[in-house]
Amino acid sequence: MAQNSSNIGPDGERFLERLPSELSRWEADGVITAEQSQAIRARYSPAELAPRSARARGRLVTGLSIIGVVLVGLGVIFFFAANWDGIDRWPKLAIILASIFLAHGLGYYLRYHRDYQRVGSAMVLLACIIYGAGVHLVGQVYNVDVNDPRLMLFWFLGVLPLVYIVKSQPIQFLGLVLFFLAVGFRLPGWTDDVSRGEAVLGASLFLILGLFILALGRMKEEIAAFRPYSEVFELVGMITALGAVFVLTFKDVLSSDGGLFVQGDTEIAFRIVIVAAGALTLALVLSTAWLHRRNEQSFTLNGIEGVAIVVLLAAAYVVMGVDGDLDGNGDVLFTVVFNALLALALLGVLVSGYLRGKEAWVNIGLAFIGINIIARYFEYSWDLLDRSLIFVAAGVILLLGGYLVERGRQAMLDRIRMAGGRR
Amino acid sequence: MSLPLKLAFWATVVGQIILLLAFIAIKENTLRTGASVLLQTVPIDPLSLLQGEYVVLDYEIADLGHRVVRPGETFYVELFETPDGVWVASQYLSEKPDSDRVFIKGTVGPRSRLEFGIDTFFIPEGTGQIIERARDVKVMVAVDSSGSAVIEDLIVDGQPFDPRKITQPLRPPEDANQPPGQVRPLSGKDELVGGG
Repeated sequence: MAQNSSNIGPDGERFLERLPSELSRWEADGVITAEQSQAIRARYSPAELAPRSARARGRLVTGLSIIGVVLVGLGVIFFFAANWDGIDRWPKLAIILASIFLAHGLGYYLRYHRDYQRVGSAMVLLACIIYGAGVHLVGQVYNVDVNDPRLMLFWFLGVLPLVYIVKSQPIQFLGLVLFFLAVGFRLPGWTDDVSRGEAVLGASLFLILGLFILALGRMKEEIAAFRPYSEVFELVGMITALGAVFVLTFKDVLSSDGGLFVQGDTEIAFRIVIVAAGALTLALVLSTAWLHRRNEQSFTLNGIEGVAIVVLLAAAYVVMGVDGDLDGNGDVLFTVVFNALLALALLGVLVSGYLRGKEAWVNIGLAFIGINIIARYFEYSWDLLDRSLIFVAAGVILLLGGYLVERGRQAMLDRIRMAGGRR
Repeated sequence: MSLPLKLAFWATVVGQIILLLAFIAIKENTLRTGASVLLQTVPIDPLSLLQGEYVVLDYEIADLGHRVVRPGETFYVELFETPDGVWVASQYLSEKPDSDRVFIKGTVGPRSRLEFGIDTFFIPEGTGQIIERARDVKVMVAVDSSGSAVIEDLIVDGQPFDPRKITQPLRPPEDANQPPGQVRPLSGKDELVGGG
């Protein structure tokens, strides 16, 4: 049983790649017994012990399968979206129900009977997409309102159990995206009575939910049984939270115009969601800290990450309820505060990604820095400079920035690889 | 895969199917048991990526006049049939009327107009303009005893809208007085090409 899948030691992938041959040699030399060799192998998953070429081939299979699923899924969606008058109601509904069942069945067979894990998971993912198309098809057949929030909710609820049953990262990703879409489609109904500040409310809600998913991912990393679910939760939660803070850095979003940033009442359901999500996030941060200590691991980085989540969580609640007319400069103050928070968060993502050896975190941090620089450039130069000059200067800055970021990224990733950290 | 996980997998698949069947059953029940009413509407033609082209239907009975209303507020619109067969609002109630009356349940939307959950009608690609240009658009709706409604049919210029009978987009006849390549604006005398 692979007990140590997330903690592969200081030599990382290179160590794991050498391990099977080393074990055979130690066993042959009598350094360890066959039982000990077996016990050591059992600490790692077969995928981790596979040679680099085999892992690369596995990634290629996953990539091709996912592209195939996306293309077939889009085809199914567009087929039903465009040709609905070509087939009558009942055959159309029968086709979609049969397609869901068949795709799940084929995925199950490939993954669990033939052990084609990657292609099988991709088929289950396709079944989840066809199920979503089915929900929207039923909505289409009965002319349910196009933005009816129940449609995304039904899709999310149908996929949620499979996020945990099928240990597949693309299905986890789909489940989380559907979670955010289900909330996003519900949001306009929750803010009907809000006369100003919908953007602040939306960004704050997604900041809280992003931090909740991130905190959930971090906690899963501390529990061996849930570790396969941690990476996608952490990444999706982090990107959502960073995106929400990014929206709150724009001075126009935080235009108070005298008084609160948000004016009017939100539905009680909205308030329940943000309070519950905030409370759960705090509980998750504390649980993660406790589990981390119990696992006797270094507390410093984990503790700083926990504090950062709590600070960003507090910022979301403050901006929703605070008086934006602080001597007429409230919007300026809060714009500066959120820009500073974004800068610190991005620095934290880069440092954390570097220290933990997570290339994806480093790439996401750098991507956000690039997007932020472009956004700030256009936000502040649009009213000050000539349009042609803005674009020429932007192009030059991008080229220079691209060169510097690429150089820095390569150096950082080389250091990560040298240190043998896992992605 | 362990037995509990196997069971959970297939339970989820069955759950997905049941959820869809329940969704269908609720709508079918309204269609089969509800009272049919004809409502006057004005269509607008946008596009949904997931569901294709559709028209947004803006009903006459959605107009709340000068009432002071709160977005999200629920109203029950009691309906009565006029001599020309169109059902119009007799009164707007905040309490549910008796079940022997014909009424439709609506919620106040962002523009202070009522939304009934029947504000979208899906159409084949390229046919939205035909509905938008029609003189008169009405909707046949099934309303159940709780006020929930499902669209039965779209009535375009007095005829049920049947996209399969439309072979080409609506075009006004060539006018000898117009220069080549130009057409005169549509009028009520024009008919749907291939329409019923």
